[in-house]
Amino acid sequence: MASVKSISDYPIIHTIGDQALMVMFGDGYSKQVNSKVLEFDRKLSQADFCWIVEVVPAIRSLLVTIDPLYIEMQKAEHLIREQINTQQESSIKTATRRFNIPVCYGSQYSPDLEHVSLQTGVNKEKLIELHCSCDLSVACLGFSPGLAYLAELPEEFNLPRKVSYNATALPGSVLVANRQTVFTAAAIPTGWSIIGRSPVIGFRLNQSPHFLFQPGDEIRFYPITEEQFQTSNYDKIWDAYGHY
Amino acid sequence: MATIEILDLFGSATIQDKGRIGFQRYGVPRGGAMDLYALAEGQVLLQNEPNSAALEMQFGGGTFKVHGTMTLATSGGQMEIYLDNKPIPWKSSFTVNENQILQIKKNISGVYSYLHLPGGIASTKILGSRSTHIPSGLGDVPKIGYHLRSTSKEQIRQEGLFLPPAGYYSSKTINIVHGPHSALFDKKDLELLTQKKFQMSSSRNRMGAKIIPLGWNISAQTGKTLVSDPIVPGDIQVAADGTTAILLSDSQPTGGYPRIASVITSDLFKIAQLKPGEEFYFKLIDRIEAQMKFKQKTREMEHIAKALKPLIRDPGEVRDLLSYNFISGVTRGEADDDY
Repeated sequence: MASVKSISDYPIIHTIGDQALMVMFGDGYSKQVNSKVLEFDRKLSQADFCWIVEVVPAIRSLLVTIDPLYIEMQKAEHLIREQINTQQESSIKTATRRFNIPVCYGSQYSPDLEHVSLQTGVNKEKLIELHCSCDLSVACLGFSPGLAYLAELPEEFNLPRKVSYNATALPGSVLVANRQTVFTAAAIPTGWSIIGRSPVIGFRLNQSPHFLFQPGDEIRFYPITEEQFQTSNYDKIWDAYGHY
Repeated sequence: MATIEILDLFGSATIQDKGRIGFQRYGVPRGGAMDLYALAEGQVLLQNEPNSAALEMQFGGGTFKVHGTMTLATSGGQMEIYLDNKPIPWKSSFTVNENQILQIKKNISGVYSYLHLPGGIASTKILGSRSTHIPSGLGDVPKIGYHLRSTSKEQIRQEGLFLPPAGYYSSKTINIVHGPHSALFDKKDLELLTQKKFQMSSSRNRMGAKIIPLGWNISAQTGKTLVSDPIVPGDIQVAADGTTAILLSDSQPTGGYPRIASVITSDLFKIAQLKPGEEFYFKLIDRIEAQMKFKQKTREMEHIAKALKPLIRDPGEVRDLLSYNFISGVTRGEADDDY
């Protein structure tokens, strides 16, 4: 890991802790790298190894937690490598699920929109238009329950995180930094800029399915008014896509 | 049905079982008891299922009022415990009755202590676990006025069972293994990691524990891993300002700070029970040895029941004799504080 790796060096298998393997598919985010992560995730779920406790896909890497009472780490690594070597491009295809998600960009829901506008030199209307004009892909869920990392935004959104880490993003918040956007489903502290909030929360406690999104889903945001945010019911988004 | 009402809590408390498996991919921390060995001991004392939930108390106990009759047990970091002002031994099973007041106070060893109910605590189960995770609203939050209920119809169990004190508190050596990010760190830092002493800080919770390298600082490797990778509990993370922390049960499932090494699973109990100010060394072992230690610890946990003893027997065999209440009803029978 000390030297810079080229794409052909990947995937690389590391051990992490004493009961997990981490497979790295690249050194940063790219659609291609993330697709490989998600493809391998599907492949492992089909392989259905009894010694796998849990598989956690992330942006560029994938964690495989193993049960050391069933298998030696070396043997597990060998079997994972075998799966990688037999991985064929587009061997497993699942239909991409697409979501249209309402977002209120304005007033109390967008405390940092003004700041983002000043930082990027793009006016607020244009920023909203840009944010709603791309098909974003759920690169992974992480950090807190149901929180979706979405990529990739246009160059205009290539702004750094804020210096302070003290703001609280409420569930449904839409955050931006580093050409990524994050869609929260629980309250989190954040250093990202909060540019809007959705009445749709991707995590619910009392009903199954508990999570609206899965890695690989596509999301397109559309703007709604404050009144729509407060009065409209968007529960049907769960009904249409909740079957998995 | 009998309940145990929380009248007061002195530190923070949550309800914990073995945690949530299978939901890290949705951003849900695994959670679960900080000291799984202590959790297992409590289950053995009450003949509970291994994944039963207990009340986990960090840095302090609480005052509880009994409604009905029930057999309870305690485990984990040793506390002084009184039933209607009479001391009872730690890590034993005992039966409580209507209107009795149970006080758990004054920590003697360790950090995390457990109160067990027969069949475990019947709190809200979500995503396969009763473990409380306050930031995500998962599980019940045991607060003043909350009633702990048993999942079992049989609320009377064998009382007077006892387990000897655990030997893993105040550990001086914590075993670690290298991980995916280790090579990002300076060679010198990797060497010092296992040569220099560390101190447990007071800045700790269920998410993680800040540790202080004594006499040096790990150089932060900023910018080298900005992309989030999955985290496993035990990972030793070095933040952008050099702050070093061990990520624990409630750590977020993914994170972007580089991790210099990981504490092995079978030593996570030791880290959990280290008090602020206690000093320790890291020892680097390989993954084969780590896996062996895990198997050994698992076997030990499966055989806890073999260590069960009836509470009062040959006084010569009982180590902390003074904390036993042989003279109930005559005096308060309190132990001298000779720890």
